[in-house]
Amino acid sequence: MILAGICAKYWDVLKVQIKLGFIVHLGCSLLVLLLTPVIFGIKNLDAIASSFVLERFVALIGIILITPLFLPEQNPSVQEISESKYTSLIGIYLVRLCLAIAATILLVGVFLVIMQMNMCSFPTFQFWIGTFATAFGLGSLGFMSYALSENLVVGYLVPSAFYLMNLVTGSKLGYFYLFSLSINQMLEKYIWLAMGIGLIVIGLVFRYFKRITR
Amino acid sequence: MLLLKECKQILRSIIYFVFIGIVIAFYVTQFEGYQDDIRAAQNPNAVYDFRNPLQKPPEGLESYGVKSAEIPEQVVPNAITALLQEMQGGKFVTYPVGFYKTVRLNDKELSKIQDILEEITGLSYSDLVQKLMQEEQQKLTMSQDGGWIMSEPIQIEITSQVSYEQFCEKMGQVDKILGGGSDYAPANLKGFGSESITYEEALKQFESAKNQDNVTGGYARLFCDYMGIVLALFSVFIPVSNLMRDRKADMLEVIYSRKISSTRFICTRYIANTIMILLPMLLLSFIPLVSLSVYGAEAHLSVDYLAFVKYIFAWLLPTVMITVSVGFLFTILTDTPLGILVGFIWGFLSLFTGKLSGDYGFRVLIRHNSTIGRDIIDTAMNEIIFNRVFYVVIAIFILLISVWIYEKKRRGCIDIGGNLRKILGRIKGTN
Repeated sequence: MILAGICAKYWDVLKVQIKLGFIVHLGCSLLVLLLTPVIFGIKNLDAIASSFVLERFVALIGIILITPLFLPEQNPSVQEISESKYTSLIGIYLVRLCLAIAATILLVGVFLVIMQMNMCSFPTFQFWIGTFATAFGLGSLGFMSYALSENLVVGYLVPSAFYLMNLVTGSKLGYFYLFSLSINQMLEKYIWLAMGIGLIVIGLVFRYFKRITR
Repeated sequence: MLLLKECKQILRSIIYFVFIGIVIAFYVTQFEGYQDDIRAAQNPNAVYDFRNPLQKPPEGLESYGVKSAEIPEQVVPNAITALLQEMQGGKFVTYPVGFYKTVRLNDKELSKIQDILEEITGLSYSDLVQKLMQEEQQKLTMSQDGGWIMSEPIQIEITSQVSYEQFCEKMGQVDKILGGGSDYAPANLKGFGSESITYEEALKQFESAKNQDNVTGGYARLFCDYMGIVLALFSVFIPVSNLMRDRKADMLEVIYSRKISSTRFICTRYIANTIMILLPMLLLSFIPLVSLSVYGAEAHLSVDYLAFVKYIFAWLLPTVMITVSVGFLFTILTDTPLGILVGFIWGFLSLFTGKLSGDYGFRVLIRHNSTIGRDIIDTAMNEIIFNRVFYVVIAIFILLISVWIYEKKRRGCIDIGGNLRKILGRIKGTN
């Protein structure tokens, strides 16, 4: 009964979160995905060319979807009211996170299917995980930056800078190299999945302790 | 004084420190090679590297390096061979927007390229393929680990039936069929030819670095090349967050009611942002300047102590001015961080659609990713000057538009940000 009540409550939270901010970020992500075939072309690509498109452009939706999850509480008055409620704010953040991650996985998957329909050839499951890992890594870096700085612009700036570092420095970044699909490596992707979880936990823990020590 | 106050405000913002962190990280990872150049120049036993402008070429070396050269006797057979190999492989590599892309052609398009090859060589396509296979078989050898490798580069012998100009035109047609950005574009054909750099050419390059660049010029160009990337992509974050702070602190109406004119207020903020963005560049440039100056003094060379400052103002300042202007325009117009998206994407596309040097035009980000090659800069000097002056003029024009919009907002005539918030509110269901 209690569990059913909690589920119903978070289901209502989820419905509100979709309207509150998620739909705008989803729209921006869809714009990025619509621009990708225009800029790069996604017909008849082999595995390496496909990895370029997926890791360097499609993965940017991670920054758009996962970084701005604290935006509704940007206004201090709204934050105070949210914190005063019985429902844990961490629970709300987790709902937003699950929504953002699910959307990222889904959008990447749909894009992969569209690429395959355009005669691109690559190992689907491996590229799905790989692209999601890059998106998740960038997004979680932005999430943590936003949590620590309480500034959305910093949240966007840090993963953008890291993305640029990867573009110009290349595989010299070792295990932190974001675009390892293009060199047929998956280890970096698993590292980024684990690191992404760690970065998100750091962000949430920091917000929690900041709130209770205020 | 308002300018000083604005500079202090920017100095106190966390985004500014993150920006400085990015600049330093980029500098450390990309630009530290000048120290290796100095060490090599000071070591008489160091291996000669033609890319090091400080190293005097020793006489009597077997090779002083290789450079691309549009030599028809090399370009024609190499280009034809490469095209044949790609046709046999069924895919073609292009870089239409600076990123690697492979293209697969349908039968009609392949047939067009075959016709072009037959026109150029006078041989049928099947004869050309046979020649290629014979060449590959002759040069295929087994490596030490048991794999197969080519002992020499493959080049089929052909006699062009058309003039070199006609050959370039036909390769242009091939590039068009491939969608552009291929190695067969007339501007890229010189990549198929090469010639050794002679001792005289290497010495001339060294003398140019010594006498024209005065030790520091080449490094100042490379510094501006790398820092320009950071500025084109990230400098827009600072003015946008600087302006958004007013809204976040609910200070807009208070500022609107002040006596200060919109022109003075916006221009002061603009100058403050520009100064604070350029300041880390100027300070960071002291590090290589000191090292290069010490080397120059020890080697009794004339050093241009102002090279970095001159290049920063001529090369980077216009980039900063235009990115700050764009940030101001979109933030003042919409009260949103839209300027970040516009500035970042513009810088991103400029970075990845341009060449590493010699490609200026209307690019906001001009590149010269080398300490040598001053002749490329000298040849394109008018184009570079036009580009930089163009962006300064456009930046000032956009700033004036921003001032006008700000004045209209102060008088309540424009509220695009408010209308956007209403639309967003309806979408979210909070209105």
